[in-house]
Amino acid sequence: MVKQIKLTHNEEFSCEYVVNDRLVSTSVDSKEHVFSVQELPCKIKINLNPYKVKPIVRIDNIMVNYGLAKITPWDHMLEFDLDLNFFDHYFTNIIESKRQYLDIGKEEIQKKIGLEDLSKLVDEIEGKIV
Amino acid sequence: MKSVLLTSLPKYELVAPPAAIGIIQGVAKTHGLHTEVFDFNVYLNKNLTQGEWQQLDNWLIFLQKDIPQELKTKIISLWDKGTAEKMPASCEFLLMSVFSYWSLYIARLIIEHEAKKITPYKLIVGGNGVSSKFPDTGKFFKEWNEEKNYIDHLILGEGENPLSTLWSQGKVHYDTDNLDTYPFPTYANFDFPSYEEKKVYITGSRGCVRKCTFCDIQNIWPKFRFRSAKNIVEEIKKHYYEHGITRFDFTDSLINGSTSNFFKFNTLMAEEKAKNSDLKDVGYLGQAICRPKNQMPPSHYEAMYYAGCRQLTIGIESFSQPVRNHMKKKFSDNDIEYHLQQCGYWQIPNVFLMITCYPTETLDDHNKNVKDLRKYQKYSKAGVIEFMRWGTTMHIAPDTPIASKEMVQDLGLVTTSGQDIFYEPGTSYTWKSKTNPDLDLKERIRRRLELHKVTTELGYLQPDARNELTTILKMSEFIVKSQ
Repeated sequence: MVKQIKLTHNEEFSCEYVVNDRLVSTSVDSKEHVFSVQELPCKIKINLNPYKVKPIVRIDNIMVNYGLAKITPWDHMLEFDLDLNFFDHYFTNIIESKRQYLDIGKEEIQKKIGLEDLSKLVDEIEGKIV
Repeated sequence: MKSVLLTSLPKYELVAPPAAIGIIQGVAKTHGLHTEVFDFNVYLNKNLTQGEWQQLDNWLIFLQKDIPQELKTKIISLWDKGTAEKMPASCEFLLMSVFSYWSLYIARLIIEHEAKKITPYKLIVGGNGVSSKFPDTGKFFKEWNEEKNYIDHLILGEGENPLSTLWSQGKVHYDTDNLDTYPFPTYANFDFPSYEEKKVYITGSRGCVRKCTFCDIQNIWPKFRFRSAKNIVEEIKKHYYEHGITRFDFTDSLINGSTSNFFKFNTLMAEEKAKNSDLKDVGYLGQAICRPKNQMPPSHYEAMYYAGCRQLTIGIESFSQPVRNHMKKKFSDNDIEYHLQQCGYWQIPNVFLMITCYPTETLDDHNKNVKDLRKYQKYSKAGVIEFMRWGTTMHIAPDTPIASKEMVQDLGLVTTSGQDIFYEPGTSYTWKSKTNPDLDLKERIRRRLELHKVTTELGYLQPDARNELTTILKMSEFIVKSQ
């Protein structure tokens, strides 16, 4: 379950942490800002100052890719959703991005990365070792 | 102008141009030779059926005694066709790279065929495989060659100096203790689209700082040597500007063998990328060893991120500390945890290489593997453990410490019929241990299947699972036969 969001940048910046359109906290002039997540699911908006800052985002101390985490970087804020299954969605997006990178179909990517159903092969082996 | 045809044999990955050929081509070019490249591994893969390729694979990894004569004839005919197409005018040398002992049988097939020809070129053969023994005859490659003198120049060990001596008539010699004196590899003449990825292999070090019981690297490179950080960065820039390569795969047994040099490399690479936006997409991947925090503090992981570390392949081998201790891996459960935390913090994906059913593995050790799979599932979901590779159960490789007389005796390793291991093909997989009798082949397969099921249930990516299970299916035939 997601508990913490951490933003890091190589220069100082300020943030307003807005959850479900309610300002929860403000954090100023630091290279790192940490916010705790109190409710899930939620819509997160983090207003940034100065504009156009693109900080590293870590969810529970794991750095996330903006695209895979579906973080929309506006000039003035970051916007994204969190829910109980955040990393399940993240994982699904990893697979989809691999599929798009390799330019192959859904069935093919499942085979390529070892997510295909191999239960028949397992059964066949088990049949031989009984 | 003198010319050379550089060829590579199976079994080798199909992912990218073979590093050995790139390295040798670099040496040849510095001596003014015209070079052509024929990757017979890729060529065969394209021209054999899937069934034929699988048979070839089983033969090369010693799971199948032989292949049908028709298939051998087809392989030889494809060799003749492919080499004829690529043969440069006035070719003086045909060089064959025998990557490992898994290339031994096909090398023998092709070399015996080449020896029947009257050719204008001299045959040069080298690679790690030529230091090995043929499992079927027990003869070393060198002994086999000496019987009929098939090969004009057999190169044992590193190829750079012997080839330089040959091609410069003894005038040029590299300093083997200083890898920076070796020429940069050259990837001209490779058909990049015929490989799965547009990347090149790069060598930052040779040898290893560990002496793991299952590994033969100590025989190939007894001493750990590494290139300077600056030299490696220069090579990366060369391949980028010559071929637009942005993905570099280190061939090193471990890229963090020297943690200080690795940190220096990452820092330099990050600085180059910050200075030169052309290089912004450059990234690298490689094998590394899990290290404790005092050896690789958080700043090292940060530097890896900014240098473009895209993936680490780590030989975790087992989540059980006693098993890793016997293997001489020298890292703890806490070190694994720390490594994953840091890789998560800097989004560095990992491939975990595992060895199922090491000879000392007890049921408790196996259960620890299962337990830690559950513990680390969160890292799989976050892409930090990108791939999990359980392999095909423990295979006792010849010429490794565990295959030494002393360890074979200590562990009581024998074939299922009580003979010495390696007595017959396949026995390197079908061994049993008198000191751990419960871990017979049947039990090994059972544990491996359990790990597959749990790993699948937890959603880890196992890209080699089909191939590994297909090999295990073949291994299960040994159980049927013994019954």
